[in-house]
Amino acid sequence: MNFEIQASPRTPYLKLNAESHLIVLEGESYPEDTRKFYDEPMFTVHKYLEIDRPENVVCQFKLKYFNSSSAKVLLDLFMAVETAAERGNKLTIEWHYAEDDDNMRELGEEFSEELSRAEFKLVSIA
Amino acid sequence: MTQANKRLKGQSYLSFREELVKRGIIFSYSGFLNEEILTGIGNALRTKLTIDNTDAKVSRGIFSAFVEQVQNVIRYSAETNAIIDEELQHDDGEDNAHENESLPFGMVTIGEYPDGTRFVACCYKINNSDTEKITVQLESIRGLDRKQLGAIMREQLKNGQAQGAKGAGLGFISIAREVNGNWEYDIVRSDSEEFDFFCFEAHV
Amino acid sequence: MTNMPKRLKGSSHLSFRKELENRGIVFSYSGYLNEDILSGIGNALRTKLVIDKTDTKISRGLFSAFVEQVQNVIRYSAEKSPIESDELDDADPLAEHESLPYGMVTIGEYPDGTRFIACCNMILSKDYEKLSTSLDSIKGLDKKQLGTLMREQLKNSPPEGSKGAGVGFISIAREANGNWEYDIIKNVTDQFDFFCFEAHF
Repeated sequence: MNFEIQASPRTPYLKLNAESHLIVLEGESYPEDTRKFYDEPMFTVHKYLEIDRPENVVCQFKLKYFNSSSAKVLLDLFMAVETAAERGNKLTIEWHYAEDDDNMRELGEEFSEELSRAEFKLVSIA
Repeated sequence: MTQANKRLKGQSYLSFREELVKRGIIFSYSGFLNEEILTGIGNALRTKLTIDNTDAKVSRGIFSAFVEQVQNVIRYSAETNAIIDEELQHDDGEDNAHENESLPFGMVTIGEYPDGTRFVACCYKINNSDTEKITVQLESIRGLDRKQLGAIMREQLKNGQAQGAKGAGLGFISIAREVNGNWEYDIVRSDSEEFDFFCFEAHV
Repeated sequence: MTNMPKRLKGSSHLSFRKELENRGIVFSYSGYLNEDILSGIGNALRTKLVIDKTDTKISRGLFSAFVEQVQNVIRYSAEKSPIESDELDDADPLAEHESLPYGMVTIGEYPDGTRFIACCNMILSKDYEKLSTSLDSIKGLDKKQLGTLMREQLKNSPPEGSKGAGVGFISIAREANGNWEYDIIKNVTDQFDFFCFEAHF
């Protein structure tokens, strides 16, 4: 299930590590074709989240910018994490943002409204 | 060789340039748009903002408004030339962005008003059968603040688009939120054509 | 929310649009240029030529002139935003260049069906002599003569101050079969002249 996709100017670094239970999205996200970029990797991530496991799963969002098409992908991921948490699993979403980027922080807070069972951490980066 | 009538008048291009300067316009594109042009102008814009030491928040707002608006033009311009399949034979075997077979036409302008307000504007033709719908959509988010727009955005993301809306709402909601409600639109109606002329401008 | 005076006037953008249409202009870009913009507009241009079923020879010539002219602007526009290399990310594709060049590209068609590609950029006033002399020297040459001249220049090393092979304008002139013009408006600022070059197909 593991995969690692390198970042490009318009697409983020994506990683799923099923052994360390870590999902990472890092960089910029405004792909030319959102579905073409995200469909396959997100299909794998969603499949991974459907499996119950005792370990804590961490999903890190470290995005500098994302467009509205990408927002759907991100929110779907939040909801999938919450669904897994509702089944009794332990999951944490980390939302990283540059400390002077109020907008990114607020977006994280907005998306975190989806979560009640899953843990949510805002991480400010200097 | 016959003396061709001189058609190039440097003065006319210079006047155009001076008109742009007068209107505070730094980037102006009118033509067929594609994602590559978006990338290119986007990069030039970002670099320019860095060079000018523009405030990080302002820069992010400008860039974000630019990307969303240009993607709106690409998706929704009613003035789109389409290619018929047989004409686009690529033997190079490259799977590139030309698989999108349409060329949407639009205008993008980025600049700064005398009072220092930055603007990003996009204009494109829309079917006049859509004018009502777009007007209603935009009026419904007029005057909403950032928090309210954030909540609406989340709703739209969860529930998907209304039938036939083609997501026109989400891009505008996203821009409106990021610029804290400082945006305007105008639709110039045409009696003669089937198209009206739609303009949207975000202020940062 | 305060009621801000409406600044956006759709009618003014529409007039601009109509003005471009009246002048037969299909693509118009004025701004800072980079290679991505060149390839983006280039691809849109090529696609448009296919859609219009433009004659292949004309299409090739137009595209070729477009690439050469825009690369000329990128390399030689005197109007630049300076870049300190440590201001840019390593990942930034522009980091390797020293500056952001400003210019204008216009592509269109005259009423008689002649296609045109024009590029404009500022040049240093002190470069006026050199540029106008070198362009005047190829005025009136036909395709064959330009081809020979080009080959000669390519065999010798590029002229001083040139960032390419030095044959940019010769190459465009040749593609356009000698149908080209230039104009320089002097002293638009105390440093710059305004240079325009237009090729016809």
